[in-house]
Amino acid sequence: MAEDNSRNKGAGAVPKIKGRQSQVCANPLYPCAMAGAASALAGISDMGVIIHGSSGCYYYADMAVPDTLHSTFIVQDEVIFGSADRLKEIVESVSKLYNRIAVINTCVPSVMGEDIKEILADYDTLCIDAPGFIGYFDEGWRLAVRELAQYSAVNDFAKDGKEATRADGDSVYRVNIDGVCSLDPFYKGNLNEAKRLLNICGLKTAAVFCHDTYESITHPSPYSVSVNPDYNCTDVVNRHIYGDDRKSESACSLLGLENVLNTFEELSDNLSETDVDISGIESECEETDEILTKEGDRYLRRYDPPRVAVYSTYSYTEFACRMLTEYLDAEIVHASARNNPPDQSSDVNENPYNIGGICSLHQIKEILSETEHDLIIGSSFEHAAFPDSAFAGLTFPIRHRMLYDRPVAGIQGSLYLMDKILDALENGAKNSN
Amino acid sequence: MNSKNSHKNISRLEGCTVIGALTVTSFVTDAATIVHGPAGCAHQSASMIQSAMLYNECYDIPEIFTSDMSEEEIIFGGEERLKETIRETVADGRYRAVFVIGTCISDTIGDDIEIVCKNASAEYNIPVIPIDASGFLGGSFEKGFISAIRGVTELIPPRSTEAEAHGTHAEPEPKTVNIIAEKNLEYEVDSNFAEIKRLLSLLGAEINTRIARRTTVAEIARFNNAALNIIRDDPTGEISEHFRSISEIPTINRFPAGLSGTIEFLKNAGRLMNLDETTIENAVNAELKNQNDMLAKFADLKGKKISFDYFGFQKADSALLDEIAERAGLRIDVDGPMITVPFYTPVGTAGVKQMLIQWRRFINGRR
Repeated sequence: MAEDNSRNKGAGAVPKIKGRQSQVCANPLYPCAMAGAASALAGISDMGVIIHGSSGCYYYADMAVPDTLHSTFIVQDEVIFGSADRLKEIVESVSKLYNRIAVINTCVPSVMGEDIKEILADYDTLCIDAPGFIGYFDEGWRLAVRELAQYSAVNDFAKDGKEATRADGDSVYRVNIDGVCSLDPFYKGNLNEAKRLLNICGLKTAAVFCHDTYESITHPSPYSVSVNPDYNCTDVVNRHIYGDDRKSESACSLLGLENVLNTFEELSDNLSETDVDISGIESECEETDEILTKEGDRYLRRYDPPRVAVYSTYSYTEFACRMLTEYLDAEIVHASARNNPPDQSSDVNENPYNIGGICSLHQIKEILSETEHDLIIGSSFEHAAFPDSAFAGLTFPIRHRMLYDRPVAGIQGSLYLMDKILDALENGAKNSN
Repeated sequence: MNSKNSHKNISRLEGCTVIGALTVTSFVTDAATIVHGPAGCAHQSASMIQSAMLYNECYDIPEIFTSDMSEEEIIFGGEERLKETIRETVADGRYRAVFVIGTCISDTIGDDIEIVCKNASAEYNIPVIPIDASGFLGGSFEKGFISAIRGVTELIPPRSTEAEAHGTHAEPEPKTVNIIAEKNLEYEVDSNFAEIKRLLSLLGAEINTRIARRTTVAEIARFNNAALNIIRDDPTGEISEHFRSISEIPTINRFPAGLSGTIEFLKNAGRLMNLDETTIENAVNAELKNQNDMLAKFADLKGKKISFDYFGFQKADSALLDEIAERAGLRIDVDGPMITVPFYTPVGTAGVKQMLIQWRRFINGRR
């Protein structure tokens, strides 16, 4: 495996909030905190999100985040004379379109020293101070979720996770879907797959973090499944609702067949086995495992185990490494995450793929240009840097066409990823898009 | 200076100077560009450029460095971090020059980028050039673009110095042309250049250098060899004025537009390069024949009706479109199919041909 000292050994994680490297940083690979806060909040369909900043900040966020955003489009005048009037003018007009408003502060307004909460005291707004200099995307996402948690409360059904919905008086458990991040190119496919899996077990979807209505998100179920643990929200939200005496469970991962099985077994244990039938999930996982094993074996009858470099957000990187080693005996020549692991307290020994923390294309180019590899899994940045290598897209940005919603999570997600990997490996760079 | 001083001014929407500047500096292939700001700013800009370039089927994404400012630099100042970044960037000797683009946050906290660049130039003995950008405090995308063009011209040695170095006279080479301020994110940027090159070849002229499109520092330094400058587009006149201030090379301030516009361009370019009238006349006749041959391919459009939809920000003027319609035998009529006017005026005869292909699709109901 290529040498990557980007994570301090012993901590098992990137200890730096921003991940600044001692080496020069060129072509940073991930957006700033402002975009993270915008992604989390704009997924709430009845909440108007205003970027308090310049057109440049807005245009980027608007390109990266698929949901609607608004902006104050501040100019030099407001920096000199204050932005209060402009901010109120925009909040006033956007308030006519939404029930709730969120304002996200960018770099310059953040250092101007204006108290935007005070300026907007007459309006019902969430204010998030997420300037780009505090860190990358995940920092802003977490700040937004923490703010959102302040407004969360116990729902009618939340005490036992049940809701009387059936005409015959039976009750159906409702479960949150967590980790739905709109920057993730697979977020819609993941959401569809998670709903499908819940449905197989006779469960209903409660809140979807963060792609739901304000009412639903602030009144979640105590139980959750996660399509991407990097962007889990329920721990923060439920800690606010239940305090230290928590009745809720952490959102368990749906990345990979083993996790799918474990997650639904745990749900079944926590809920009532008689009401939650996971036999459908068990049989589908078993069938899928056979398919994946067979396809891996078929590939290995003709080719050597592939040498693969993996670059994505942490949980996706780990999942891809696990799939590659389990079904293709792959050698992970280099693996690095854009962000910190979701559980930063985990020991370094729990990082068997030695996933580093690099957020600069320059460094990836330096490492990978000296490392033989058969496949790169990453974003369009890595693909652009190594256009002749076989490539499979797994993280933002993926610039090539994605017309239908593909999952990475769940059973279908495992099939999709294996399909994509084998296609890229067998057809090489020519068909890797 | 900021032109966006009115709350109702739509120039609030004009985008970021940093991206405008990067579309120039990142196309100097052996120069590094450092965005002095948070890493997110550099990511955002690089990502937008990459997105536009991939749309244009360009896969060689430029490397854009960042000083990666954190909260610490916001509080204590970012000049030390910028110095460190310049040092790290030039360390391996790959680059012949460095451009430093400020962002709105580095400008707000008052970092003196100019002095850092001046000191770094002296220390590392390569040009380290500050670009007056500063995010939205610097103006807009276009302002950043123009500032970067100015910055790149700092790589041009004064004519006398260049002549001394080569032991030659500082006379320009006849029939050589500089192409200036191409819009590197424009979808047709390479086909527009190919058209200009073709037209100039009719006059026997060649390209000297491009400022800047995949150009090296050494190629930029050859600027003064040329007999003529041709600017892609200069609606405010700032680019022409700048080049007048740094050289005596005559300048054409826009690429040719339309059919008669292309003929006028040839005549103008020939005269500004002091070519003899016979050469110019031969070039004009050759191009008139080329235009007639091109129009003959659209004979099926003769007598058909069209109308133009000017809604939006299109810059093409109506006289130009009317002339193309007339030469193609089309009738302008409000009952004709509505044709969306292109955002940028098509360049040369080749541009008109591509536009007529689109018009045919409208007329035949395929759009």
